[in-house]
Amino acid sequence: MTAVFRKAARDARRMMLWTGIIFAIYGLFVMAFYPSMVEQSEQLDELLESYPKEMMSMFYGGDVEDLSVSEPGNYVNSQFTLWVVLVMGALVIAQVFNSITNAERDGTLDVMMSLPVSRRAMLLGRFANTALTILVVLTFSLLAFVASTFIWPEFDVSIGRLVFAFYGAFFPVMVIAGFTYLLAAVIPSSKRLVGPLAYLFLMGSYLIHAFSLFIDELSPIRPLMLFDYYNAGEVIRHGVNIGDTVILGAVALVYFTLAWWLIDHKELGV
Amino acid sequence: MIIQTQALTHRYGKFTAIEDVNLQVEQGEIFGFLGPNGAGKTTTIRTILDFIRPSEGAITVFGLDSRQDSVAIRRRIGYLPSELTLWENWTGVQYIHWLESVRKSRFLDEALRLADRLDYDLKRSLKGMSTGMRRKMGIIAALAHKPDLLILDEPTTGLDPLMQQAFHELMHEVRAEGRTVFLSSHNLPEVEHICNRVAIIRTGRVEAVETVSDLTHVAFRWLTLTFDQPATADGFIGMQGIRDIVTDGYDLRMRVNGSTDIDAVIKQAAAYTVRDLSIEQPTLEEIFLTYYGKKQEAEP
Repeated sequence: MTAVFRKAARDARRMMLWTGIIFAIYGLFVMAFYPSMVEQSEQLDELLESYPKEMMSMFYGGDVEDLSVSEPGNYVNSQFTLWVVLVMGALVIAQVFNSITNAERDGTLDVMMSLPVSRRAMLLGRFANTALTILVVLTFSLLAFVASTFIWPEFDVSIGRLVFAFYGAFFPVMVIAGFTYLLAAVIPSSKRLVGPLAYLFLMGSYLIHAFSLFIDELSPIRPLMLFDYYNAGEVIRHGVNIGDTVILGAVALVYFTLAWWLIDHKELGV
Repeated sequence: MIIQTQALTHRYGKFTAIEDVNLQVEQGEIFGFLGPNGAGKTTTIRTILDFIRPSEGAITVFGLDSRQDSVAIRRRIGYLPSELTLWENWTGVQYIHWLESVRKSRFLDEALRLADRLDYDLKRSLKGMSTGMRRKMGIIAALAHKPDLLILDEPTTGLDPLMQQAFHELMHEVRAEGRTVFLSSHNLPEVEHICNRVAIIRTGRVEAVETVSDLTHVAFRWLTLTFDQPATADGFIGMQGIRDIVTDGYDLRMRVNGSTDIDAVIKQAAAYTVRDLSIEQPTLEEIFLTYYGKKQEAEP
């Protein structure tokens, strides 16, 4: 398992590094606008009042009553972490797809499976690499925002809460990863359905959650949506919601455990 | 017994890839698995290695269950797939180092020795390699940890004749060390050259398991003689082991059985002026039909 993890991490190291750097640069870019947002917050909030509530909930991912765009939590969530979860989700789907489904097709799984490594150990090694990838990218992002607290004093947030807000994104992304691993363990690679279904899960969860905030008929299914359990703005404002984090961690664990169990029964397309 | 399959069957949906395959491979032998493309050789190998699971039947390797004990089995196996894909961002040395970490043993020195034998530079990148070079790397990776059992799927595809010869020598050394080789091929001369026993698989079924000497007796060659005058079959008709004689202008083509005394044929041809002579190996299908014909003749 360790050797599989080391190989996967070695293969992904450039991707991790560059994605982390790009996220950090984007974070700094976003934060560079923050002082002017604070300066003009009254006018901006008035402007936002005039926007449809539906549209605002799409971009803020939560309750938009009394929304202030310059409030640090809202700003970080709407301009960064919400998109980080979506982009990181897409990245891990591609990573899982490459490490299992594509590896089945291109023959590299054939080589791996000929070695004294069980299917489950192989999956565990790859899953550990996915977790590492997410943590590395989140760490780069976090560092950019921690640096922002020093560069722009207007961005007055507790570093402890920033840490929880950013590492909190680890859990929803791991749910997406776990779900994709589960699909890869169940669906034959020849069907080419793993990627599309995982992307559907990711985007579907985001859109249904956003719509459910203003379409009453959808509100009963909102608790089933991934994005109902993570909002970096809430963490920055009120601290970690342990219950939500535990739920996300448990769901990710269930998905991965199922994938771990089912991979041993899969008819591999090697 | 190193490998034993019992009534092994594998189906892909409604398609039966292999059916009722029974094989026994003894320790210290080079066992050839001969069959045309699509006959089920690779499916059998992948089932033995537990990449895919049998629809029916059972497999033991080293006396262990191929599924329950797959990791323990693979620890003692070296495998070369028919289509080898390597991680292109590595060099050969890095690849061997990684294999060492997976197998928890050190064998870089042996890999370097094998690389020398196969005229291969382990320091070069695995990127953009030709089929032959990838094959060499695959052979080195399969042999370097000195496994008790080598499973090689079409190992010499893409190797030039010199390297094929080097590979055959390596196989003889492996056998001399008491290790076992299970080798699939569609190349009869190669199998004849290095194997002790051969199983012939056709459309998913093992049609025969023979010693190489028995197969050589079943096998035959096509001999074509070109004379300086219109060819005649006179003198060749009725010769022991000569069949299917056809004349075409100056050419005389005949089928010479594997056990035939070729010297008598050459002496008969020397009665004329021979301009050219060529010998062609039969196709696997022809061998199979010959074998199958003999089997039917033998049965009441």
